[in-house]
Amino acid sequence: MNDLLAPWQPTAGDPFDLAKVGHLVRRGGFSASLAKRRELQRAGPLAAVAQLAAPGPDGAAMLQQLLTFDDIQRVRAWRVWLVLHGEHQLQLRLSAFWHDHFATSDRKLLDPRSMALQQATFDRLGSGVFDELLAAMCRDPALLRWLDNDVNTKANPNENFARELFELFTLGRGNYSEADIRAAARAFTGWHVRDGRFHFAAHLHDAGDKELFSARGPLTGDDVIARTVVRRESAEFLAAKWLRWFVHPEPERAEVDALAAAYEQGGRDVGAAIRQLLQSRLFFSPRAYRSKVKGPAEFVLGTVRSLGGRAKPAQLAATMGALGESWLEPPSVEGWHRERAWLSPAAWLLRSNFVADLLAGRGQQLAPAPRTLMPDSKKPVDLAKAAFLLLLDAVPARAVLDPVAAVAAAHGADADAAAAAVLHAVACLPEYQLL
Amino acid sequence: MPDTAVAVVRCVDPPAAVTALLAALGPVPAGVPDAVRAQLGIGITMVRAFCDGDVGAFADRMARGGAALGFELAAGGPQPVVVLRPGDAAAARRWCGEHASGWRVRAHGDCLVLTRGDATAGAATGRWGTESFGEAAALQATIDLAPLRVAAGSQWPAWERLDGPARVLLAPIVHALGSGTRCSLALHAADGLRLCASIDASVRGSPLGALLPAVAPHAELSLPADGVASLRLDRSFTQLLRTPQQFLDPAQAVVAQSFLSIADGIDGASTSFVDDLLGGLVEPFVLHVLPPEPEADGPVPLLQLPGFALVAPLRTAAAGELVLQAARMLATIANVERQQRGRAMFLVRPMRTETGHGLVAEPGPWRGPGAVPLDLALSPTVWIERGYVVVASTHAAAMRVLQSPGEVPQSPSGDHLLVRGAPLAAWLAANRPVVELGRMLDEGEDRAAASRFFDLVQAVVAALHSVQWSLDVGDDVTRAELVLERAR
Repeated sequence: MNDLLAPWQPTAGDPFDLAKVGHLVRRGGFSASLAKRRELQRAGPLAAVAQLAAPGPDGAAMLQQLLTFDDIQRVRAWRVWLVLHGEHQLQLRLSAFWHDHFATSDRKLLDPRSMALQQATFDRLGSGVFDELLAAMCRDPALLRWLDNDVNTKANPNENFARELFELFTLGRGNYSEADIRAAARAFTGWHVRDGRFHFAAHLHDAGDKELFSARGPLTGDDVIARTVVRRESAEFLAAKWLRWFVHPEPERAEVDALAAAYEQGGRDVGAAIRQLLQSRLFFSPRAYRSKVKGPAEFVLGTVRSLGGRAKPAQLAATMGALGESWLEPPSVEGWHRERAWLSPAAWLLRSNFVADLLAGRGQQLAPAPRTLMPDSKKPVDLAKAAFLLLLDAVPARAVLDPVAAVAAAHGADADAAAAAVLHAVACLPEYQLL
Repeated sequence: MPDTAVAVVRCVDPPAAVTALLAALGPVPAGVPDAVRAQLGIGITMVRAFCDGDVGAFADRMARGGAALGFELAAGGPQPVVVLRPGDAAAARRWCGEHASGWRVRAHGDCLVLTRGDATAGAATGRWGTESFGEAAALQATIDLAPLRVAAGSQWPAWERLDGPARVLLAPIVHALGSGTRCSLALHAADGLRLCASIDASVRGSPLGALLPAVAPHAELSLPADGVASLRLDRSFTQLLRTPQQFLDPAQAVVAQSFLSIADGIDGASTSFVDDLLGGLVEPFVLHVLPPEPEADGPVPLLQLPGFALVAPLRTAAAGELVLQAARMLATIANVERQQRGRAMFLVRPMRTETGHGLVAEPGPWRGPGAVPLDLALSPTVWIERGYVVVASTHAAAMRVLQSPGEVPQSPSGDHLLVRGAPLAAWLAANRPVVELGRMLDEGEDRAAASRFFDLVQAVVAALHSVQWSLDVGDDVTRAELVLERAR
């Protein structure tokens, strides 16, 4: 096994402490309550990753009930609700990854049902073998309509789907030719949508010979998928993206090679590769810790989950949208621009206001109330320590702690206001904006 | 009771009132979840302990000759004053000594006066001794509105600060609260609970009074026997849309005017949506809510929507044809929008029977994946028959409402809402999974919490025969009434 991906082993000098657990639950999920983090700490790193990677419950009945509404706000609230309540955090994290990867927007489709079904596909196949996920996505009604493949016919081939298949979904720019795109577009002719389902229109399909990646034959869409997923460039493209998503915004060549190799050796099993990554020395390295900027979902949902609270999903989704990450409406086929793109003076103010409103019960209505989150903390300094443990990973040095404690002291005997103030102060720290 | 009290609640015969109120409330509904039942049990036990046992006997000891609770306004907030005429003065004094810590207790004739704070030190008989409390009831209250308005300042509800539909819905009440001097309340406990309120002011004569339609006695189609709910909203949509800027906030007024710019073209440039279409209908309109139709063959939505039917008598036959024209236009717009979303269009077709005619929009067969969407259970209908126009969510709902006998209500004006408990509880029970999901997504609750919530709601609704709300605006008085009747 590559050294970078070898399992990280805690030692007396480098223990599996709350900082490590916090790092794991933020990257492998959407954070967790302090009680849950302590439970995972006791379990140890391998068991903790296994808990995060546990499969989710069968959501078929809930999905059918959701489809009844046919309402995009409800679909968005459903995704937020799952993140807030789901124990299967890695599966949900991967679903969010695939939503960003196969970025499909309801702004064009105006079809909440197809968007919900696409999300359900991510939940079902997002942690499995990539070949199956890609095959499903190439038959996904939302994606086919989003990339205009429902008008891709033998008489009038449309290259949009094929181009994004190579550029954004599998190989990355520079790893295919224009001739490959034209051949793939012909192979996907007739892959259409009828009555909300995938429909193969044989009479519109180009069954002639095509040449793809220097091989020739009467290729179908499935042939294109099969020949694409096995290419080394695909493994490297996906590995680099996973490393940017889970570990560090600027992965190094050796890291990409290591993860790509592990992914290929594992039979292109996404879940296995990501589990290996989350257990690795690379993942727990100082280079990875707090190296990424929280996106709106990570900030908004992570705050609620870190506090172990409950809030209104639709309102949280609206806040995420105001901060620039409206799920089901990515800005383009490339998904969301991440990291530093999330931060701006206006976004920082919105983040601060969101936390203040959440803690004050203005619109967001966090339950339970802030004071009950820190029941054993009476003195300002104890409130500040508790707030750091709830939202960040450890109690900081006095130089950082004391100003936050002073915020609590300013509220005198008003315990609710003091608790809300220290939590707000910690959530506004620069460190809290980092993942 | 001091003259400075601004609100007084009075009970002339507390023992009888306790008996009547307990009888009207009835036992805890059968379906109430055990957890809630346990909390209620604790609460009842605490009340009994507080009352030294039987509540009726307690009321007799403490206030056989009557009781009153008043509030004075003070800097620190409302200060309560309690005046009791005990049946057993010694026992009442003893109880106050044990339980009324923080209260000052003193005798005044055959009464006990309990006060808190300095503001109530001057308790005396005065204007409240001669004040009329209106009709006899288990509980009566009179409230001085003017000093409360001054004390509340900007917190007092003002029509100008209302948003959205509240501007239209609440205009009569908010206006009365803002201009009246006195509000009288009476809680009756015979044949259910009936709360009556009366304010000595009316929106009539004010600019907002134009929202009330001029009503002549006319027949209304009654709610079918198994109907869920019925609402008559005594507002003039003709007046509302004639001068929307007078009644709506600027943004809504623009929306209304935009709608009218399209709607006015229904029947050529010479037709006015407001004058010709709405003006051809008799206001106020009545909305009936009916239980869902029995499940049809083939796939149906997991949530069975009730049927909605809006009924208006026709003033002119031409108005009926204009309504049909408007429905055709709206159906076309809706179908274009559906097509843009990749949805099957509704088939819009005229229908005619021996007694009526109309327009029915029917959905095509469902072929998509997954559960059937809600709109596939709709068949929007506009139907004209017996001098009425009915706009309904389904053809069946329109027909069912038209089968009801017409009736001339005692008061054809005024708001009236009727909700029947049994059909609403049955609807909830039949649609629990989807309704629970709606709450989970709205409130962030998990399935168990949402289920507990609807267990309680369903039990309470099932225990009610009906809930009625009415609002009647006279020339110089505004009356409201809320009636809750238990299922027997």
